[in-house]
Amino acid sequence: MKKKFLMILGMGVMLNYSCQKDKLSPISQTSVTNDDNFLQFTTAPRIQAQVLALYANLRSGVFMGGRYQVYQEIKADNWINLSNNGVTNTATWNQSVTGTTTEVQTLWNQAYFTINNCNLFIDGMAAKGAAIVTPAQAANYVAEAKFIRALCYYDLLQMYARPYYDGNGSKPGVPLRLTGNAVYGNYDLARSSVAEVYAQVVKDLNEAEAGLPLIYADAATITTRAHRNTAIALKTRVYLTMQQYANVITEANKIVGTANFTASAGSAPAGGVNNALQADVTNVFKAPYTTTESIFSLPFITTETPGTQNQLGFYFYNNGSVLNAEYYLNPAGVVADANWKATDKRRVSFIIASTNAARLGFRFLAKYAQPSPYTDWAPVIRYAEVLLNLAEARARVNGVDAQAIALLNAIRGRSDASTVFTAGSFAGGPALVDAILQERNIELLGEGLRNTDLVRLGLTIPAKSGGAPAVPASDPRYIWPIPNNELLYNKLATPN
Amino acid sequence: MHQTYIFRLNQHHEPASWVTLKTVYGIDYIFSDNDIFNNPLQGNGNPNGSATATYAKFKNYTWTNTAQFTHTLVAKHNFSLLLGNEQTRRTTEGFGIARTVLSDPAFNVIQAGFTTNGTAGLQLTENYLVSFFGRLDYDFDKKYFLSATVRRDEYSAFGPDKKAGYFPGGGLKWDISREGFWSSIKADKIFSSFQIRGSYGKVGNNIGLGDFASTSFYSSGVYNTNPTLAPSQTGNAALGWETSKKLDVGVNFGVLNNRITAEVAYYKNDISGLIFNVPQAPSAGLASNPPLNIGSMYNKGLEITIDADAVRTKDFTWTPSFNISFNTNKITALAPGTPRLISTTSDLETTNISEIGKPLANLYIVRTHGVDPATGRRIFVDGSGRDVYFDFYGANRWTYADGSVAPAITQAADAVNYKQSQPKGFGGFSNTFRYKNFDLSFLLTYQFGGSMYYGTGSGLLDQRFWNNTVDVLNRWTAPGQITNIPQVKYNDNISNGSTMPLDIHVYSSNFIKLKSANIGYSIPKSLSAKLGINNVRVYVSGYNLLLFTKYPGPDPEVSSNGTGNANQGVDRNTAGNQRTLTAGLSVKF
Repeated sequence: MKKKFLMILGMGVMLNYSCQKDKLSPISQTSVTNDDNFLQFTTAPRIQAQVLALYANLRSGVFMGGRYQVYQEIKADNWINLSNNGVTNTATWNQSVTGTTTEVQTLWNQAYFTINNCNLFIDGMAAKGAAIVTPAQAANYVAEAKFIRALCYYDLLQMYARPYYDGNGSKPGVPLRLTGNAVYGNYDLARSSVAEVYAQVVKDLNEAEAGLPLIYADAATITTRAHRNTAIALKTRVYLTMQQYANVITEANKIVGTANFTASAGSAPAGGVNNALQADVTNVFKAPYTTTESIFSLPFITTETPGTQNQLGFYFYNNGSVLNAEYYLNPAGVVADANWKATDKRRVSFIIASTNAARLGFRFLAKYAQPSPYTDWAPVIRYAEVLLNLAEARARVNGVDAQAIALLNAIRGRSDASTVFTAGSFAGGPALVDAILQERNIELLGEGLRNTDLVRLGLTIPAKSGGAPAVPASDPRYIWPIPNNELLYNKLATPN
Repeated sequence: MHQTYIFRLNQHHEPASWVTLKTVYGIDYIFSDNDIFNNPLQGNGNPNGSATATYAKFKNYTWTNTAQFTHTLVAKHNFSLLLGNEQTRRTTEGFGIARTVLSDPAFNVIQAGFTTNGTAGLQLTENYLVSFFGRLDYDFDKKYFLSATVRRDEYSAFGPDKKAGYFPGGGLKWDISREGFWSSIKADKIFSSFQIRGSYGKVGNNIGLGDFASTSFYSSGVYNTNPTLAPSQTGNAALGWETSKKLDVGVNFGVLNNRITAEVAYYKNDISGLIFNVPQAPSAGLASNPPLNIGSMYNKGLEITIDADAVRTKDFTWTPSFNISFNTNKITALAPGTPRLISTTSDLETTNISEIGKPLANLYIVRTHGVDPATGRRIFVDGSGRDVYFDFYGANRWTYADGSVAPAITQAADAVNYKQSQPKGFGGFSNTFRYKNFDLSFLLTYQFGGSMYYGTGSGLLDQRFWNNTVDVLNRWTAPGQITNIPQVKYNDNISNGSTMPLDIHVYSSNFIKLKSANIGYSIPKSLSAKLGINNVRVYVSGYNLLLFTKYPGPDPEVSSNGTGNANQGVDRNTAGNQRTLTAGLSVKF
């Protein structure tokens, strides 16, 4: 009996020890381990899932899924703060952010998280993934990563760096990271110049244009993933921001016809998406959000939402039912423009006065009208913007330019047929440029371009009633500070 | 709701008189069921209603097998040897549902109609710890005691080649009062007992480590209903045991026939391979801060405890007990390329710095130099010690005394390793009195030598139209006024410390606290016996009753903003320890 017991006990201990080895090295059943074996690149579905993750990173509510657009809007002149809530970016609105302000840190973090994931993906495709999928697919995927990386760097420059015109890009930009980081290391890296970062953005977009697919199978994918026109469209924005107007014209001509303003009438080789203005602008901001005018948007559905206090509708419209959002339209902003007629479809449909007793007379923006859980897609690039980019560039290069006027009329006319500009409407090129800038302000209101439209030209950010001071181009508050944590942990980073 | 199941199987066997074999298998299961319903009328659920329910199973088993050999070799030489193996495995499995947009406001359960369903509380992790150990005890005539231990631990969360650790130790004890010479030198007239002890050992620490801490992961998500895969955790394959080598030397003695007993001990604890999640440059874009065996430090100090049986009469007794501990903490090494470790609270406020040669988690603070009497501006001190004046609405916000433009003060450039957050000493003093059927006891606790960053104070002087304390009444209003509160400027969030921690909000965390007190009365036994009751006692007890401190916040003992010992000494909007009063009647049959 004793012996038996001892034997059983001994065997138990031994058995026990022999099966422990695998328990000591458990393998996660919910995640893919990232080690030297590149497990995340071992199958075609995993590779495709990584590409989509880059878009999902971009779509984060703290980045292009909402807040980037919000910062661009409220830092500029068209909005008045209603809530005085730091979480919904009062400090950005009243120009008082510092390196420790939450939005200054989170936007930076998410943009660089996305950039690093692009870099890891590009590196991993070269090391392993290119052998798993077809060469054409591999080229497409890498081009998508480059497009997303370019967009991230462009966005970072808009918030954290001096505009290109200031010293022709010689001012400090942001740290330029082009290889993937996966483990602990020394990540001290000085900021590249604005010009160097823009050069990388342009390089990435040129390579993206060459490598991206011309089209996808369905409208939703065409709108939510980059295709050739997307890279070209972003280049028109980038060059406009750099004030390189001839390049804007060159790029825009690829996807804008001279007489017929649609993408397939442009000079780009056939087979691409035929992006075009919609007859009715309100269709662009409605489900399914996939008209050919939306070149690139970030999708939201009931199970994929921007997250609390990130939603465009929450900031600018808040359900529509109570008409009590975080910000209302500045009465002294673009809505004060007397030439923007009351019958203009964009005023009729998008500018809504509150019926709430406490908010009578306050006006809000109804472009993002979906109530909670806020499923309006976040617009990134719209064909209307490309037309306005081209119009402005042509007016700056050629003065009163017939095509620039035609482009301006295309935008104004579809919402307000009663206004038609002619060459006689403008005293000269600068007057035409001003009209185009104002048309951008009306057409793209709430879409996250306004701050850059002021800053790229060195215009003063006007004061806003309620405590937001005017910020001239010479003021340090013209741009955001570099986040405190970057200065703490990247010993080569320098403050603005 | 938690349900806990504990089950133990204990098998005991003695094949010979000097051998004991034992196997203990125990399970400890906790099933946790959380249910949250937010109605659409108000609060978090407004306006659509939401509900979350999660269910988690925490399963733990421990199996211990030991063999104990006890033998007295020759007279007075006593040996005992313990050999054993123990393994502990813990699995965590959880799932749940998060639903929003209630279909009908009349519903109030998660099972009712909602339009949108999401997941909640998904978890699936495991860890495993296996140990082999041995312990040898020897004593001679209960005078000399010697023990030696060794154990080998392997833990699943460490890196592939770093799972195992060897942890030996040993101890000695000498009971001098049992020596013959002790009474011959008449030491026994003074000391009724006297023991000297010393021990040295190495132990490993894996507490608080995530189950897959050393592994890097890519995790799934969705993009417009399609699956995605993105980095979700940055691991570190070189992650290994945090170890501490602890030296402990002490004496225990009693005087007056053990009416007074005391213990005096010196300790030095050398910790190496300290594990921290080390922040990397945000622009590196890592998914999370990787855990590293970042450095070494020591704790050393003295612990003194004195207990007394001060008064013992038939009607009255008084037993006081006093203890005090002094601790010195110093960091001796950090990983190459990491000259300092900076820590951020869960509120994203950077508050602490750890540097070689200094204690862990000192406060990382920007210095100020009062308020300029001429202009009412806050004077900051930059990294080089130069005064910089701040004007929220100034054309140039930051200027030197001569009016020339200064770079903006930032924590990265200008903060200093300001003060020690850890207390240098702490302890307690307890007293128990009994007079006839009345009893009274109380406990005083104290600490000294540390500082606390009162972040709440900056919020209470923030000028973004936030509620202020009455301190703001002392604000600068006229040239020549000497005050510590700068001129009030609408929206100014910088002058009073909302954007970076300032020295004006650092205070000593010294305190003496009446931690607990208890007063009771038991009815006489003769009376209770008649009622067939063993004991009846009425009592009132209280916790955190009195606090003596110069610290302005609610409680210098609370530092809950941080998540670990690298960001201690920070109080931002923290509630103090609760003061509780309990009155009760206890009846024992």
